[in-house]
Amino acid sequence: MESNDKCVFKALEWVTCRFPMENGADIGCESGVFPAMQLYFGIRKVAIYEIRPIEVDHPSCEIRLKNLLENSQGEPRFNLVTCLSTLEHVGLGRYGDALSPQGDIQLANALKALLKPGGILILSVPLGRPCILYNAARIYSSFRLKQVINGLKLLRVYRDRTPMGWARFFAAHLQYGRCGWQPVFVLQNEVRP
Amino acid sequence: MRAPRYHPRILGADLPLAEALQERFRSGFYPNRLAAWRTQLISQKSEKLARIQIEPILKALTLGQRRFGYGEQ
Repeated sequence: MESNDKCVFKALEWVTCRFPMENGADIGCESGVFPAMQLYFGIRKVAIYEIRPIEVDHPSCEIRLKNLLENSQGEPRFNLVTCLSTLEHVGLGRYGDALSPQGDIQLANALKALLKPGGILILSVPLGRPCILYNAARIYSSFRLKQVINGLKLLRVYRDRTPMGWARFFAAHLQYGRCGWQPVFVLQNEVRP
Repeated sequence: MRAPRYHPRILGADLPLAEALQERFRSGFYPNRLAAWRTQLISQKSEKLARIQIEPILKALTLGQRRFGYGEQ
């Protein structure tokens, strides 16, 4: 049975086999799964960006308590950035962040600035009938998604192909306010070294 | 130019923060849909220090576990 976790795992496996990865970052880490997956695939240093106070038990992980919307100047650059199920919440105040209708686009631009030339962004946001489920999340149309990933090259898409995954796909596209379908996009910063 | 049509709920002040948000979210996207507004706001703001444990997840990955609950809610 495939799930979104497995999609992220496969995406990381594909990326780390093909591109040199020295360091990585995870944005909006809640459980530690994605920093752990980065370490599992041999990335030596992982920065965890959060706006809420957290601490981590692993020496290869570094916490960066920072709101990238407010200030992303002077941040290190990364070979890999994972931003999974985070972007759609930005700017809605749910996590104590400032209200900003364009917060997702602003964060996406900040993420592009975090990538090294040729760096990889692994991103997932809910797709479906577009709306803002204030203050829970946004649901993205292909139009808004293009605005978010503008300037990045789409390399691969991983999605849940199980019957449950397809059920989520149809529910998200037929009903307003359903945000269960989240493919995982592998994107590359087009600026070459 | 024709003025955009907003759902009455957005124009009313019956929701917390509605007044303050009104203008800002109008400049966002899809502001004139019913599903854009929910009556129950969620707050996951936290002042308490949360502890993220990487080691148990790394061990689980080494043992072949691939599902950790992401995207299954």
